[in-house]
Amino acid sequence: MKMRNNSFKTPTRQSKIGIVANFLFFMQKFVRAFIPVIILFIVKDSSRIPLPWVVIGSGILFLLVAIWSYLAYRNFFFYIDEKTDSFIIMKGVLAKSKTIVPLENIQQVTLNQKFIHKLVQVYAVEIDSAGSTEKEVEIPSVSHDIALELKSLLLSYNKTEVNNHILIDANTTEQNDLVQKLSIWTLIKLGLTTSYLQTLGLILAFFITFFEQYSNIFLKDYSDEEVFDMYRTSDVESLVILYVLVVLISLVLMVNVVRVIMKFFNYSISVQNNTFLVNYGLLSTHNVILRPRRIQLLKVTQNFFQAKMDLFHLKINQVISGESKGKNVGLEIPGYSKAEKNAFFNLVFEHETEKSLFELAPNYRFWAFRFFIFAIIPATVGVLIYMNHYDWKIVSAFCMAYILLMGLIQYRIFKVRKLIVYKDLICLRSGFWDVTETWLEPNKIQKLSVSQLFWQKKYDIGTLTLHTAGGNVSFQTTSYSELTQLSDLWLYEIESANKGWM
Amino acid sequence: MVTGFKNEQCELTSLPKHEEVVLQPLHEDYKKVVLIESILIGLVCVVFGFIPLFANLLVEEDFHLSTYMLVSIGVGVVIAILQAVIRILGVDKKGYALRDHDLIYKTGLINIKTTVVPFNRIQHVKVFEGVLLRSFGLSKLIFYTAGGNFGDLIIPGVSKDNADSIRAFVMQNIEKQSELVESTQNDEDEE
Repeated sequence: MKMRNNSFKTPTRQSKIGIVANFLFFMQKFVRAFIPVIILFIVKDSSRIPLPWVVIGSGILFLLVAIWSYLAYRNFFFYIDEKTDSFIIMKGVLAKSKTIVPLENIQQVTLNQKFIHKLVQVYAVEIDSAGSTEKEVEIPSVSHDIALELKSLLLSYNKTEVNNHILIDANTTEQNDLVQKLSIWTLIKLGLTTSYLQTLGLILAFFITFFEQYSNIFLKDYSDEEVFDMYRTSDVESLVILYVLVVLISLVLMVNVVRVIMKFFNYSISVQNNTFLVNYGLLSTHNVILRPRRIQLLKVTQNFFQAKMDLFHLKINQVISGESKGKNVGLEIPGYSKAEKNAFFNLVFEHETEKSLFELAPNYRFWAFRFFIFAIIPATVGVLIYMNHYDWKIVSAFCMAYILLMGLIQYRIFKVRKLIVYKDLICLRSGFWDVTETWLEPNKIQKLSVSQLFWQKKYDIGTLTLHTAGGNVSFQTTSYSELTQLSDLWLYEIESANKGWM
Repeated sequence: MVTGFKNEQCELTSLPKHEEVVLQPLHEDYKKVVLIESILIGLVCVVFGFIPLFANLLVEEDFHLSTYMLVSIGVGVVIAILQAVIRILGVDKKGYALRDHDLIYKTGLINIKTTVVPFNRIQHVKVFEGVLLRSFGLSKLIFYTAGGNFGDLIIPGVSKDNADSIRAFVMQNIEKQSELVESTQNDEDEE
């Protein structure tokens, strides 16, 4: 791509069509904020306020939002200041602000397209910088050409990565080592097998908030007792429960599939010069650049069903910087086969992952402690509470069943847990249904601690915690002396090699 | 590669062991600081314990002591004493050490924990003096890393002079390390 030499040196506005995008975004915000009012209005009070007033009111609102979005467009400038070598954004309608990002601090430039952006064919340019406390910078709406130009221009200033980027943009077609796309079928398989609990939680949360907010509208004719009586008098309780269960399961699966497809539609990864370019999304498109050097933790998850289908879910934790701490900065690769996963590993880690040097399992006290906390204590409390209400046979049967179930669950968790050490690579395996392997290179460790509770001293057991810029990893209740030896080894590797962590 | 010692395969047992390092205890006066702090925190606990009693005094007209108020006061007092004892005894268990390439801090009466931060992961160092610390000529050292939540290392109760010299020592090492990293990265780029 040929770059214009004078581009962006003077304050530049966004694309004009961006006014429309601004308008739609502000309207979206308004509508979201006033949904309860609008619904209430439609359901309850539609006769109280005369229609002309409603029309005039919304007309004024439209006009105000339109003026506001025009002003937001007029007052938004971005440019590269050559004197200070920095990228500057000025914005604000009433409260004005000026953000200055030194060009050499720019780490990553991402083009995003939300649904509204797609409607008017513009892109949002997101700029991540290395300064740990600086806020992320975003230019909300520019045309595709300008977005691409800005991206390559901004990245070309980054001194250390300069060679990489010019190459990427110059030979987009030639240098692709690997392009992968996820088929719809993979996404469906994934939707059928992942995150049941999360989706169930979402559905329940949705219903609960929905009923809390609007119960007074829909249920005003029934009192609570009436509803309760209706439920009580029906003899088909067990059938109802079965019915609810079936509906809930199919709902979860359906929502899951839709969620996964919406999120990861048209997922593609291409690799150029050891840099990953990832594109995905149905309604909002994400466009992410990932450099292996910035990967801090790599999580590979698989459950029983996925193992049968040869499907892995990868999650990549990059550097969490100050401002975006709460934000999810991980990148997901939702469906990889074993072969694809191994190819990815070879690209990301320079080291052998075939044979491990050393494996560490938790001490049996890991299981015993959790068995006591999660099985014995709740069972005892349950017995004490229900002893006098029900027959002791039923109570003890329930109690035994619970203890057995919990014991088995904890045993599975205990058996899965492993700390596996490779040459220049650490893997921590954990989980119950979804088994997650967390991979990291020792040189990503920022801080390391080994600890033991005072009564653990004589049994030589303890806990290891590794702090990285992408999150913490810890491994509990295992051989303390092995842990100290391992941490000495990793410290030696960090301190002698002088490999950067980013 | 720049460094003198290359990363060859080595016996685990021949590596320098962080467990065997002799730790430098915190400054003696730090115990006094902790004592004052614990008394203040203890007073707050006791006041909280008395809240039901006070509330009753203010609201009810015929006041009488109930067991529930006594339990509340008791819990407040016990927590106050326990935290003071644990904190004061804990001071003796804390210690730090500087090695050529990293910093070690050990702490813990109940949970004995050794933390190590390599110099080439420290981003910057801050010497912090609170009012209480300053009145005893002490300060607190904070070592910032990129390790996100709880990624920083804090050493309380170091004498002001000591803290300044540790800070200078570590900063000097950071600069040395970053030069090395830059030169290695340049090597990689040239390859």
